[in-house]
Amino acid sequence: MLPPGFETIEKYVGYWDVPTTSERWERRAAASMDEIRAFYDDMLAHADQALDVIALHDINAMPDDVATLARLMLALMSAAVAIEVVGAPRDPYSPYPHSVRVLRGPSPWG
Amino acid sequence: MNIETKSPVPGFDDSYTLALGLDTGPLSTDPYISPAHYELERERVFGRAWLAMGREEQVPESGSYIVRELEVCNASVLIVRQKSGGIQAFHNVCSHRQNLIMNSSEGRAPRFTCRYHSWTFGTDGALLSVPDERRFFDFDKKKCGLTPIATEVWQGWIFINMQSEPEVSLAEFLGDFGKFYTGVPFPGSGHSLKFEANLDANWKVISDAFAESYHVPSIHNKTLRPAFSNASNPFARPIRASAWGPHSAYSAFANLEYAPPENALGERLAYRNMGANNIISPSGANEIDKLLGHPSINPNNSAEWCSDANVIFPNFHLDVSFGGFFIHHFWPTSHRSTRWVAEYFMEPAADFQTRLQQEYYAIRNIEVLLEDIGNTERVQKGMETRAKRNIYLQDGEVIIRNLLHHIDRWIKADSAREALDL
Repeated sequence: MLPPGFETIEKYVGYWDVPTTSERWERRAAASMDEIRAFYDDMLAHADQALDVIALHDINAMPDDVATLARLMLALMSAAVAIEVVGAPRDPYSPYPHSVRVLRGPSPWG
Repeated sequence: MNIETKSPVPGFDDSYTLALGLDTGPLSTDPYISPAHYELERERVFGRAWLAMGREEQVPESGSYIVRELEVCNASVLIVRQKSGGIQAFHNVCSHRQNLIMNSSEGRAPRFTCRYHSWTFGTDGALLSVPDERRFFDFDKKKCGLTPIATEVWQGWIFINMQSEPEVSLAEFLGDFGKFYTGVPFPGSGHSLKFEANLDANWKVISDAFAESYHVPSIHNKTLRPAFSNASNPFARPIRASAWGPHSAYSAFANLEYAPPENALGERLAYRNMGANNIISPSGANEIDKLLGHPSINPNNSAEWCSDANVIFPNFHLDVSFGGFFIHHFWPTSHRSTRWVAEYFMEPAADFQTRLQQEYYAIRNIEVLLEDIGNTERVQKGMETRAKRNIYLQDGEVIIRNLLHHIDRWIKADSAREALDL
């Protein structure tokens, strides 16, 4: 499912590869801090390598395995905000579940 | 307005509130909780003011349309690009039995057909065809077109006015603000990151949440405080405030020393192509430089600038920051409920590094917006306890004061012209 060389992060595809920004936020909010930390550490360890592979392809015409890797990198952004900014899967003072609908995310995979 | 408040007050030589000639006292909570006040707003504010509805890019070609529900005016509004190139709004109501015609919120159609009995209207609102027309009595198709709503476009922004013959033009309504903002480019207008929520709070409670930066170091302690305050400005005081009648603006402070912390590896990854000043923005495109270079953006040319929030009366915020522009709409659905819509405009990413940066921006924004709007329903409940009958506003919350002052003016005025002092 991922390009060769990324076998060690293959295990994250099932949970973290979701189609939209909103769902990536939801996956992170519903995970435990230990799960987010494990994903974050492993993804960061492969980030430079992943960005190099992704950069070889047009953003709107990626092979499926590269697109999956790209979406995992987007999920890393969601994990990073939890680890580096909020310090929790979600802000304890913000409503959860919340009523904010993301009608349209950034393109593609928004 | 109490002119006495213009006189100097100790410690307030630099007061925005006094400079704008506004009162300084506590303000009643009635406009936030009173159903009677809401009815007056419906009739006298939303029924008479020009209301911003969207961007002209949302209706790019002849027959392109958007539909917007305007509960506060009991209206469903169909906004259509004309063959002539202009834009016209209509009531989305069939002339036959008054069914709402278009169901989808956007699209393109050569003509509009009501599903109930297939009455069909042109993009100019004219009634084109009626099945079995000759069985109607004394029927004049020419009198049965869609009902138009006054429509004008300013700088690409579509406005409507619910008065059948608006008392004032859009240019008169926007006044000196309209002139001040003429020529400001709006890059990325064709695509936005769009959020919406239905909230149990008066529309002004939510507008107020985005009309001051005093809350930033407190409620946004983790998400924004490090970038938008520092030892020289620990309370994130605004660096400028302006008012043009009912419209107003403030500029927020940026901590120039802010850089992502050493251990914020994800954030650094997102922004690794960017200069320090572009932190927490969705894009670094060249068009953004043209926007930021306009003299009406950061008008005091302050080095420590992060954003301008322009509050366009009554319910529209048009904001600019390093990353481009973004808007808020606060659509009342009752005296204590609001549909809030926020859009952050950005070009679709041409490369993955830009897309990664946009994702970081979007996710961090979700956190910030949840902090902002998550609090609004608690504020509404607090006011509705009636334990307190007043709110206190400090100098940095001057934009809220200006809005409340002008809503009061519009409610008391016999005409929009009088409310605007024209």
